[in-house]
Amino acid sequence: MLRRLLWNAEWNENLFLVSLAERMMRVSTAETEAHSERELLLRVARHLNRHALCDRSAYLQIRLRFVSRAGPSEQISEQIAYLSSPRRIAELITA
Amino acid sequence: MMLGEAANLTSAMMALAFIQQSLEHLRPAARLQERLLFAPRLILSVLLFMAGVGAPVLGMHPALLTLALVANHLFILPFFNGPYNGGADRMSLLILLCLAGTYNLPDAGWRELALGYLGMQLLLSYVMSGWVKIVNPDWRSGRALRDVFLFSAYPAGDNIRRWASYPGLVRAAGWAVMGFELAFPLTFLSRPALLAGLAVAALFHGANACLFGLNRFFWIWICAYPSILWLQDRVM
Repeated sequence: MLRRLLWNAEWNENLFLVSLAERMMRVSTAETEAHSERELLLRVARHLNRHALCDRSAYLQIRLRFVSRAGPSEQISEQIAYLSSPRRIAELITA
Repeated sequence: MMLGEAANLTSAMMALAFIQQSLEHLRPAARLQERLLFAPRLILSVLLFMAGVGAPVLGMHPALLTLALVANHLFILPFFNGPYNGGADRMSLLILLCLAGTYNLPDAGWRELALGYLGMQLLLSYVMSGWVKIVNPDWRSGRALRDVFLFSAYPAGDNIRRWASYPGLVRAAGWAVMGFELAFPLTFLSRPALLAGLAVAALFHGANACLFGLNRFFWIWICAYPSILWLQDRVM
C-alpha cells in the first residue's frame, strides 16, 4: 500500500481509461470522441503487447459495458454502450 | 507565516508532487510523445524544488520556473485532451497558476490575492464536495458509496470490494466524510482547529490513496495546505 503512494503508474493509466470512456459517453465534439477512442485503443493495445497477452497480427475491439441500478428494487442492469471497430494490434502499438 | 515563506514552501511541495507525477509518465511503457512532454516537466520541477528550498541552481528563480511549467502544461493538456488524472490534475494546474501569479504579479496586493485564492479554493474543495454528496439521496442512504465499492473501477483489490457487504459501516463512513467536509470551514476560526482539520483531511486523502489508488490526490492536495495557513494568518 505504501509503495502505491509513491508509484502507481499503471493504476493511474487505468483511471485515465475510465475518464476516456466517460468522455465517449458524453461526447461534446467529434474531436473528443476521436481522441478518446484513439487513446483507448492505443493504450489497451500497448498493455496487451507489453504483457504478451496478444498476437501482433490479431485485431483489437473495445467495448464499454455500463452497470446501473434500475427501479426501486435495486435491480442491476448491464448495457453495452459502445463497440469500436476492429483495429490491427500491430498498427496500434507502432502508432 | 509570511507570503514569501508560504509561496516557497508551496512551490517546493508542488515540485515534489510534480516529480512523482512526471516519473510515472516517464516509465518505458509510456509512448515517446508522452515522455517528451514530461521530461522537461521533471527537470523544471527539480529546479523549482531547489529554488523553493533556497538553493537555486544557475540562479533560476521560481518566478521564471513557474511560468515555464505553465507553458509546459499548455502542451500536456491537449495531449490528454484535458486532465489525465481528473481532480488531481485540476488541483495541480490551480496551484501552479496561483504560484505563477504569486511570484510574477507586479503589485503586492495582487500577489497576496493569488495565494489567498488558492487557500480559499482548498477550503471550497472540501465544502463543495460535501454539499454535492449530501444533496444526493444515494449518498445519504449509503448506496452511492456502496456502489463505488461494488461496481466502480476504483477499489484497489477484491478484498476492498468486500467492504460493500457491510452497509452499516459504509453508510457511517459516508456520513463521516460528508460531516467533515461540510464542517471544514469552521476549522478556519482558530489555528489549532485548522491544523487538526488539515491533519484529518490528509488522513482522508491517504485512505483514498490506499483504498482507491488515488495517490496523486494525496500529494497534490497537501501542497495547498501552506496557502490556507498563510490565509488564516492574513485575515484572522
